[in-house]
Amino acid sequence: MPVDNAVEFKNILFTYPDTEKAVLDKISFKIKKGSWTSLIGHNGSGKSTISKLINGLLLPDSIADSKINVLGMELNQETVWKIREKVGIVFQNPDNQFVGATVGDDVAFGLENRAVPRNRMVKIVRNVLADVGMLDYINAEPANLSGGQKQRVAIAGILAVEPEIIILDESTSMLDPSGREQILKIIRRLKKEKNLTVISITHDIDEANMADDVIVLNDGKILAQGTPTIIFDKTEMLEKIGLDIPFVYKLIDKLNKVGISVPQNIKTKDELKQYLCQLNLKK
Amino acid sequence: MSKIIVGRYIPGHSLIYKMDPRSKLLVTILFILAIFLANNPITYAIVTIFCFLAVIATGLKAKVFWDGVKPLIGLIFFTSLLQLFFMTGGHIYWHWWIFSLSSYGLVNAIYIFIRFTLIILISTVMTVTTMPLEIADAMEWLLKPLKLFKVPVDKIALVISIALRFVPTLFDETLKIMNAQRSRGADFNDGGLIQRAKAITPILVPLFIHSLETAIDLSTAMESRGYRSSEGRTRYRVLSWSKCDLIALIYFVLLVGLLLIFRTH
Repeated sequence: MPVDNAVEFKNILFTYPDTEKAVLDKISFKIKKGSWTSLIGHNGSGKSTISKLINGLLLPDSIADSKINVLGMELNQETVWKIREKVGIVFQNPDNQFVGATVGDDVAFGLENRAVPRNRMVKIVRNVLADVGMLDYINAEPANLSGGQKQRVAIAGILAVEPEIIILDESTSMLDPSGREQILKIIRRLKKEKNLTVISITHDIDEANMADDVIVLNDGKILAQGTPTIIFDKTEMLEKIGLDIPFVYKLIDKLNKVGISVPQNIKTKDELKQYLCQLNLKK
Repeated sequence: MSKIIVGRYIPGHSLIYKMDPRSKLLVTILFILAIFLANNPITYAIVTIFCFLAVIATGLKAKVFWDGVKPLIGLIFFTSLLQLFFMTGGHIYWHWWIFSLSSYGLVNAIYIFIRFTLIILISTVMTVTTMPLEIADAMEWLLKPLKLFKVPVDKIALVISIALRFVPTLFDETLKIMNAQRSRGADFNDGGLIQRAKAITPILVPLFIHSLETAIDLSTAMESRGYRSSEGRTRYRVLSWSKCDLIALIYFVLLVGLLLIFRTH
């Protein structure tokens, strides 16, 4: 039976130890296979907790009436290692996920854990480093790399074990704009080439705008899920919970308010520009 | 400043650099033991010549080795002086209270001086030509027999390699914290010893918290990358013997042979 959903949460309740309030309050959602899904929401809304639940780094409060399903496997003690092989997480801090003493060592870490024979390991390490454009740095030490380069190595380390799902847990938030753009470009290309499912937890609203699907979290609850067009049209809702919205949506909203009604189908900067130019011509 | 490394590794390309760290570590330890075989002027001359040839073979400047000896020069002289004034026997040149200057004392002081200097020099040869990580690898190999006694050698090796990898990271963090405290008016350079020691507290506390956070993050990352235990893992980095190691071995056997022939029995 083919599986359409990469990740499925059913009724998940999660509370951190020594706290009263649940971080995730009985949430359910589905993430389609092969899609790019962005999770947005404030700090503390439970975004990162979701990523740690997906590969079993954290376990939900009770498993009686809830279920986490990853790639058709139900997450439990037996499947957790299998699921971890299929799910790679790129974390926020570039330094705190660099295990190896050199770039090559770090990329090989996941392969070493899976007891891949050395001759195959050497080949894979070279291939994935070439994929992220870091092959020249194979012997470099992390102290001599920039944040963006370290994140590229982290991506390579995850690609090496051929996952089906990549989770970007605010992976670009500590990088400068050019570093961020580079990382997203690499992920976009790899997603296409290797048919990956990407789950991106982000504060970068423009990045979320390019996703296939957006999930909005607030206070441990899912507020909305849908395509960026649907989500960002709900300007008021997003502003109410204090989330930013992409520039184009903001502008359209303002234009509507001053009486220039922009057609519903205009969603990108270029379309809006063209529409506004023609609007002037018509007058 | 961020390029600080543990140890004193200096990149180079001479024969000694091409040696396997395992044989370097082993030959160094055995060489130090062999120094104690020397017990007369000829054998001391032989072992000194062998040691200096090794120093020359590194192809590094003399200053590197002088820097290795310098911090310990006081200790060397002190030990030699003890030998010189407290050892009695042979012809006594001078005597006062408990001090005496004898021919035995004189000879022994010189021997001790040579012995000490050679030990430092030969270990400097190893530390400047081997990366700390390679030394850790070599030590892991040497400790392997301990696995029989259930010592988790693999785990220890992983811990050491991670510790080495995080030295520059924590050093960077220390600088950051120091600057942050300076901008709040902290003064690390003035005042007496106690005051300076006190000034370190506002650095140590945040650094300590930071390293704990790093450790938590790192363990999460390691787990999510499939780390379960140190057993059943394969190794990316492997050590391999080369011709240079054979040369080193022959060199060492030659030294021991000469020492055994010429030492006083």
